[in-house]
Amino acid sequence: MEYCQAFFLGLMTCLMMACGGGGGGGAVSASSAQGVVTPAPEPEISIATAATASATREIQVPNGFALAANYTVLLDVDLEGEYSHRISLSVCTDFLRKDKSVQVDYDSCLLKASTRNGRFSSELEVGTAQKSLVLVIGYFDGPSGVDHRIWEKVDSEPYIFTVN
Amino acid sequence: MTKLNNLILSSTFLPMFVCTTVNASEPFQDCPTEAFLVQSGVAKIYGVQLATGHYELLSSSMGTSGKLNAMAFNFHDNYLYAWSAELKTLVRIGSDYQVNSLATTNNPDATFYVGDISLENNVYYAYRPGSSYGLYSYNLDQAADDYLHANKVATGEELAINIFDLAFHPFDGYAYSVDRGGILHRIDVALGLSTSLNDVGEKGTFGAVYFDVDGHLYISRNSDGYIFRLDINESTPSAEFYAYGPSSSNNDGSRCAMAPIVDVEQTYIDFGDAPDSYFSSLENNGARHGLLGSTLYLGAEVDSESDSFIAPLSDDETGVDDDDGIGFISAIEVGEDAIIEAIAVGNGFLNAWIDWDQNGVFDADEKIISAHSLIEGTNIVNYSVPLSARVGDTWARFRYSSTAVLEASGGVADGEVEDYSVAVTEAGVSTVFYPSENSWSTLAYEDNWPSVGDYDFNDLVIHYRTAISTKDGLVQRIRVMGQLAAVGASYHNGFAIHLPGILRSQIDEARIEFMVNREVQTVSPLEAGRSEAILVAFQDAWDYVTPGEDCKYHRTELGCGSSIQMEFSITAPFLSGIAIGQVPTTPFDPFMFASFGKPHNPTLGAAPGRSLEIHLKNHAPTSAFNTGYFGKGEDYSNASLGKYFLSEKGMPWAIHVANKWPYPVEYMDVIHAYPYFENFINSSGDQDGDWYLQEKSLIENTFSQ
Repeated sequence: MEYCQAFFLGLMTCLMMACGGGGGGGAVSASSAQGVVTPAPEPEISIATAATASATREIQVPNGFALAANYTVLLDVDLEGEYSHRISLSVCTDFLRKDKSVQVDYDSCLLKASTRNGRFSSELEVGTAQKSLVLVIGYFDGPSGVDHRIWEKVDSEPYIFTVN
Repeated sequence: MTKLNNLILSSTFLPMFVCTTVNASEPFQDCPTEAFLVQSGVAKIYGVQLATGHYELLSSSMGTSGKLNAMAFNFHDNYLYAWSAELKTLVRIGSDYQVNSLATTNNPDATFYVGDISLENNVYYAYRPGSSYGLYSYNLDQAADDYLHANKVATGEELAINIFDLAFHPFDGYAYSVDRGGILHRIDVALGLSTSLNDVGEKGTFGAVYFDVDGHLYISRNSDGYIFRLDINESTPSAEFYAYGPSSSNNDGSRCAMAPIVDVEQTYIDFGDAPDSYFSSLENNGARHGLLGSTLYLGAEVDSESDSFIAPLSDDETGVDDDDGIGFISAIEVGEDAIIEAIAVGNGFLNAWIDWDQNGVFDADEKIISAHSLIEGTNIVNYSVPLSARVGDTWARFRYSSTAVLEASGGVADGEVEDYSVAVTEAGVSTVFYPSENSWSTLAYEDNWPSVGDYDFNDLVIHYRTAISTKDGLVQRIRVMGQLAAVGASYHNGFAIHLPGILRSQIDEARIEFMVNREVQTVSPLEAGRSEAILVAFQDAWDYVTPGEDCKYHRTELGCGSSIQMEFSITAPFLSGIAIGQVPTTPFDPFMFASFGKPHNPTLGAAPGRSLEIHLKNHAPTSAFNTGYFGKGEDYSNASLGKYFLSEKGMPWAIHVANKWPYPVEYMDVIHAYPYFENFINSSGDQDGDWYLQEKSLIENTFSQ
């Protein structure tokens, strides 16, 4: 059984606990693992009190819940009547609405595509923290430019981002 | 690195730039990196950054009403010397830039415009072509018998070269210059002899020439201000364009030849960060922009570096992320138009290149945008992708400046350079990224399965990203990219990605692209001996990373930060397109496994190797896994119910979050770093879906170095 000292935060409190990862030569039995109560500073009361369990091992996971980090959004674009030439389609997660304009962080795009008939569909995987998406439509006929469509998550599946 | 946010740089920087004290008639404090340039009928002196061509007026009132020329920096006493047309004698100039006449004797009846001081023997040499003139020396050693006495070394006939300045090499004792016809001359001042070396490839009046401590000769052309660099150590030095400098009909320059071209302690230069084959570093005459006095840049930030953070380092991840001014609105599809967004601060010109043939160089015909005028704010710019463009990853460079036309390398006095790694696809290909094209999700493992550990979820941490490329409804290839973010365990673990539902035989193994730390790997990542498709990124994390000094693990203990030491990329094309519905949902099935021959949890016996895998909750193991391990220790897997790698309470040994996650520090239970994790679980994910964001953490309990 391998033990090690907890690290010190603020007032030094030493707790005997199971080592983090595999301990090399030391055997780690299941019964040795105990939760760590950390005497950490509490910058925000709401965060610090958000957990009621003293250790993750105490938490009962609801049956069937796999802790997925993402959910699926179906993008369904039909702009056949609006654009008669090739357009590009980019869906991004990070954007800022400023007055009537939309400022997009293109590093955050989770789709890059194009279509010649204005139609396109695809499934997108979106992080659970994400509550909105922006579709950027880029067009090339005449002066190049962009148009934006925004999708907001509502609390019911299936999630469909319809653009028409 | 010095952050120059918004770059309001005015004369407040001038004292730092000139590197001098302000005491009257005092010498310069040291051997300055900047060059000095005198111009105009009434002498004015400028400081010049040769690296960028940026110049600043140092003084317009030098105490003379005439020209100064033949200027030289004296390494022996840290004064400038020059020939005064008004005083018809040699003058000395201190850090106050005021002319002090020297009591020279035996002066010829001449005005000199060519001169420099030998680094070997503290002697000033002045030269003027013509039969009535020649090469003269003035000993500047006050203890010498001939102190300030003019000695004629050679007549104008003996040394007949049509030059406009000369400079002494820092070490070989010779002076060098380039004449109007572009011929490089090496001058032996002791003998008064010149040797014509070779044509450097550029012609003109080079009124200011300088050396740096590495033996590079810089020649400034009066007509256009272009600064060229020659490596005198080469057998036939050629003039390489180096920077856009000031132009003048009357030009003379000098600098301390013992100084490097850039003071690493005080740099105000922005560099690109593409691999150095694209000309990124200072040594390689990389693209660089002076920030002093500049009000032009792209995006919200520009910062300075002492040199390029050449890939795999990144200007973005080292210091301030200032590559933020270009947005790739559309994909880059072969033979199609594409669009970028350029966010400009200040009105200027955009020039840009993409390495279409992926030969590691921005060729002249790969310039996609030239002298495109931008106005302050958001600009939409389109460009064409040639049919000859090669599909795959390549590099793009964007340069913004008040100078309209720029090359892909060399210095310019203002603006910013931004380099981007970009992907070129076939026409009609759409790509779905997760979590996005340029961000990371995180896979975090407890490696002590089947024993429950301390839930710090940092025994193995992988930053992870996927891309699925589809054409006409069929998936053509998948791509996984990763960074080995942390190893918080002494067990040896590998990492792989299983593609459920895809057979090994469906992957075009010959066309797999496998990169580690941006170097092509010759070994195939497609695991042999399996029917299913398994891509092995690495066999043992400890082969690639080291613990910090006085640290036990890699990037998990407080005070044990380091840069990412291992990143990988695997692009796996399919032999023929696969229906979208048959391709597993991202993040596919990533898993860690025990390294061959290394001990692991003793419950599993000695060295389980590939027979031990740890997957995300309810992801089935591959055929390599020893199913006899199920049910050992605290594992409650039940294959018949589709339950895998979970404890009695349903807790997994691996989690996946959709950001570059500041994981818990060593030994810190995840709920003490991320308290909302508990309610996320209790609510079956209906609440606190953002539990893993940094603003929801107790940040001091996370590792975010």
